[in-house]
Order: sequence, then structure tokens, then C-alpha cells
Amino acid sequence: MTGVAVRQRPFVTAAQLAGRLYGVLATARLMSLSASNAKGIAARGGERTAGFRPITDFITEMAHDTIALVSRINDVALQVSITSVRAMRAGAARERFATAAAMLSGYERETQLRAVISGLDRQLEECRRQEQTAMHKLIELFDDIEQRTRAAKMIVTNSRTEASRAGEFQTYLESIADSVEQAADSIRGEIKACRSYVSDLMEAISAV
Amino acid sequence: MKSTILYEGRHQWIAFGRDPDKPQKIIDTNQYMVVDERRSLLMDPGGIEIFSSMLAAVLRHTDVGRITDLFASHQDPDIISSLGLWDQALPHATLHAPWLWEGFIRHFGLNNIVYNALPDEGQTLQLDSAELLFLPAHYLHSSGNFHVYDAQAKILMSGDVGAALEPADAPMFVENFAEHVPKMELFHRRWMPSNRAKQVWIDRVRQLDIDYLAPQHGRIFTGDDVGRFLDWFEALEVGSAITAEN
Repeated sequence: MTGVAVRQRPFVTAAQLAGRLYGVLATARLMSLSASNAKGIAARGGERTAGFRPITDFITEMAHDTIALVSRINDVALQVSITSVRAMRAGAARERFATAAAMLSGYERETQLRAVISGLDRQLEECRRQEQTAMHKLIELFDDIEQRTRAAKMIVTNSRTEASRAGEFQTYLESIADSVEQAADSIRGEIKACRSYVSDLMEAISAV
Repeated sequence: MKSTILYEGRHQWIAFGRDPDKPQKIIDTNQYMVVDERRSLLMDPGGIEIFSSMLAAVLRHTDVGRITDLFASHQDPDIISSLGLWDQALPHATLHAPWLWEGFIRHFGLNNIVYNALPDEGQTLQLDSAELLFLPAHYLHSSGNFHVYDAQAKILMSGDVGAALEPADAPMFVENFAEHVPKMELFHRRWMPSNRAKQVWIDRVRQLDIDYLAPQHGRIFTGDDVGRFLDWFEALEVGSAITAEN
């Protein structure tokens, strides 16, 4: 052990991020299930649960949106991982071509290698550009999800109010409101962890 | 990396090896190149670890744009794991390699270079003046394996056949056949799996006129040592791990 911290490669962090998203996905699916249950109860409750119907519609929509957003985040994270592997390979190749060019120093053909090195520099630059774009996209998508979880908290408050007017359905609806609240909290927690991966990624990418 | 010219006619044969910059724990390899007027063939270009030295050595003999063809005798990492890097350097080249290994060799990274899948019976490659034969050498040691024969230069690039395990600063040519035998015995007994495949290859190679038998490891055989090697190999029992098991 040298005690020197080894910086994690960006493609590993991006893959970890993609893995972590499965947690969000599972929770969003649970939320969608709660919304389906609530819809069933709202349908059976007639007039007493009429106020609950738009709420269940909102929860369903939110769960679907979250699943769609997570899927997009997953794609972007995977793209970051792929680009990062490509950048690492181009960087390694560049290093080896530079060594060969140094060995050919003074030979006319050294210039032929300079062209390859320039090509790799362009590849690396393109990878960096793609990574930066992807990072901004990730932040944007996480903002979108968070915005929805904040809205979900407000809906939970409304749900509890509507549940109190639902007579015999009150307990069911309250438990649904609780599970939606738990899901929203859980998603927020996961997003917080995911954002820390994004920060690590930003740092790792800018350090390469 | 040391380079040795084996043949100089209308085209050239060059052997590369004995790389002093090579990491110690990796096996020493010989690489070969045929340089013709506008086209050149690089044979078993080697692993990632020797790529820089190899590229620099190659460019002392030809332009990067004139390396039009690559050859991989089989799929091993010491043969072709540098492929992903050559792919960056030679985007318009063609790799000639066994059809059997195409899906495997592509794992080394092949985005630009074209893969010419060699059929089991072999194929010829016409450069400018040089006509080269991709000679079947299946199961020696790989199940899809070829050697390269040049009738004009009388050189057989024999892949792992004739290989010897010895220090990286060993001479390029066999000087005393009897002294050389112990250096190749283990390699052939253990790496070569089939006595039948060995005999088929020997019968085929005995039909050829060979001045140089150039393996991928160890020293090159010249003149009468080529025949001595074939006799020695013919008498050798191979597939030693199976014998040891029984």
C-alpha cells in the first residue's frame, strides 16, 4: 500500500451510476403500482373518492415519466462509459505512438506518426466534447426527476386531504399516500447518490 | 528493436526482434515484414507491449502508407493483440488471418482494417513482385493456423513451429543445431497438440524449397539446419500434457 489514492476511471463511475439507477427504476415501478391500486379504489369509491382520481392520474404520469427519465439517464450514462473507454484507448494509443515517434526522432518518417497522433488528439477532443455534453444532459435529467419528486410531495398532502373525505376508503388511500411519499423520498435519496457520481465523473473527466 | 534483412531481391524480407525495451516477463517474439515496391506485408506484428518499438522499427524500412497488409498466423495475444493500435495507424490495410478466429481476433479492436478470412486450404497474396502463400498449419499449435511461404525468397515464416524459449538477447540464427535442440524441445512437446497434424505439415513443407525457416520465437534456421529441424520434429512425440496425464 502506498497510501496514494487511485482515481477511479470515468467509465467505471459511469457504469456505477447506471447500476445505481436500477434502484430508482424499481421505486418508480412501485410508485406506478401504488397508483394503479389507488385508481382501483378511486373507481370503487364513487363520489366519495372522486377527488382522488386526478391525484392517481398524476401519480401514474409521474411514475411513467420517472421510468422514462431513468431510462434516458441510463442511456446517457452508458454513452459516457463507452466514450470514456474510447478516450482511454485513444489516450493509450497516443502514448504509444508518441513513444514510437520519439524512437524515430531524426528520421524523416517521424512526421508520418505526427499525423496519426494529431488524429488521436482530435478523437480525444471529440470524446471530451461528447462527455461534457452528456454530463450537462445528466444534470438536466436529474433536475427533471427531482422536480417531479417535489411535486409528488405536494400531491401526497392533497391525497391525505382527499383520503380524510373518503369514508371507508380512508385507510387504503392514506396507505397509498404513504407509499407514494416513501417512494418519492427514496427516489430523492437515490438521486442524491447519483448526483455524487455525476460530480465524481465531472472531476474524473476534467482530470484526464 | 533489432532488425535483420533476410532477403533482398525485388522485394525484401526483414526480421524484427530482440527488443531491449520489452517488459521482462513477456515472451520474446520475432516479427517479419515483406517490403515490396508499393505494398508491404507485416507478419505476426506482436503484442501491445512491443507496439511502439515495433512501429518505430518498421518505419525505418518503409512508409506507414505502404504497409497495406497484415498477417496473423493465429489468435494469440503475442501474435496480434496490438491490432487495435495498428488499426489506428493503418486504417486502409487488410488483415489476413484464419477464418476460424475472425470473431475472436476482432476483440482486439478492428474498426478500420479489413479482415480477410483465410479459408482452411490457404490462399496466395500478390504484393507487387512478391507472391506469398498462406500455407495451412492447422493445430500447430492453434486449431486455425497458417504460415507464410515465399518461393522466390525461399523463406518459410513458420509461426510457432521451430520456436525456442531463450533469453531476449539470443542470436537471430541457429549456429549449432544440436545445442539448440534443448531450447525448443519443451515448447514443441507441450504447445503442439497433434502428431498427425505435425506429420501432415512436415510432408507439405518437405515439398518446398526453403533457405530460411523463420519462427515467431527464438532463432531462424538456415541452410541444412532446415532439414535437420524437420527430421527432429518428425521424430518428436508431441501433446506431452496428455501423455503426462496418462
